[in-house]
Amino acid sequence: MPSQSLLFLSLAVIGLAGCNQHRSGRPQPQELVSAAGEIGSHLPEFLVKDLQGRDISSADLRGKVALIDFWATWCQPCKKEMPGYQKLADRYGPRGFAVIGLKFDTMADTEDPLLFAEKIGVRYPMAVAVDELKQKFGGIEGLPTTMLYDREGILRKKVVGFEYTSAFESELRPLLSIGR
Amino acid sequence: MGARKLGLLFLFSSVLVPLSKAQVQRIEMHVEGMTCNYCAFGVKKHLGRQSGVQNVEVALLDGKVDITAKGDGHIAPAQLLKATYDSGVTVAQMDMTARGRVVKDRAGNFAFQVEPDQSFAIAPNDLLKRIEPLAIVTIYGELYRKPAGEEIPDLSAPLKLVILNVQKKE
Repeated sequence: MPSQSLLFLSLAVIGLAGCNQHRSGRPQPQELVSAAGEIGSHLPEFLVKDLQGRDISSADLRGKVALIDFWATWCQPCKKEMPGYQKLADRYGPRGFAVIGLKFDTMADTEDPLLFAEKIGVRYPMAVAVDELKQKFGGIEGLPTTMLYDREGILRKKVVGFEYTSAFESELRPLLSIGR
Repeated sequence: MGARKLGLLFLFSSVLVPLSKAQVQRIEMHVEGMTCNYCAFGVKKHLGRQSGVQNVEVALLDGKVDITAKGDGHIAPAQLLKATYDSGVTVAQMDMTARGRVVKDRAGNFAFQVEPDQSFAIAPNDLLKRIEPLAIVTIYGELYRKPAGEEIPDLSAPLKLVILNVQKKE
């Protein structure tokens, strides 16, 4: 009997300790947060000026499906895939989809970035990807790097290197609640 | 041997001689348009997502891309050529290491068969004469060279193999 009482008391203490821990708001082991730039991570907060001097903020993307594309004027694969993202912006913008281009400046531009964008028909907002911003997205290893966030700001797809527009389109349609 | 017999040999060669582990083993490309390490890494990741690819090594300064096929996978050089062009990089030359056998069709044209459903027309040369028909060999050869003066080559044209080295005869 005494041993049963002891067991009950122990369980009760453990249970109460657990309740107390929960109330304190400490992160539970199962609530592990994905590292920046990994699938499941949150869209980082940022506020930058676009290439024309206007503000671009992560707050503008709240509630939207967002595609963030890291690119450079000297990156041929970037040049190849960017017009596809503009098409997606045109097609799905009214449904709550937004694209932002973040331009690398680790090497001199091969041409004026705004002219570059105009030539390839890209009109979505673009800003310079300074190091601090790259780090917020978990660091960028290759170009292009494209990230797709859902309406809750959760990273759903990340592709390093060229990817076909259709691959992103098939991924974003369900996020916009559009059937196949 | 008559043409009819050769034709039959070509048609049924996959049944007569098993081609276990006959396949494209390695693809090497000389590319143009990789301008920085970031782009090179992007090309590596893009090609690494293609079907049958085990590993991709990219040498930025040399403009070389070295692709190793999965041991039991099917790799399609024409698909890799297209994927490379799609990624905005130009392929100057593509070479292949593959195990397979030389077969001959009814019209007398030679082909290198690497899998029952994958073969490459062979451009005849002296090395070809040294290979016994239907013998299984591992060869190294050129599959593609960018046509001079063409900005956008016709990638739908079938790849033609120029044997550069016979590495192994079985």
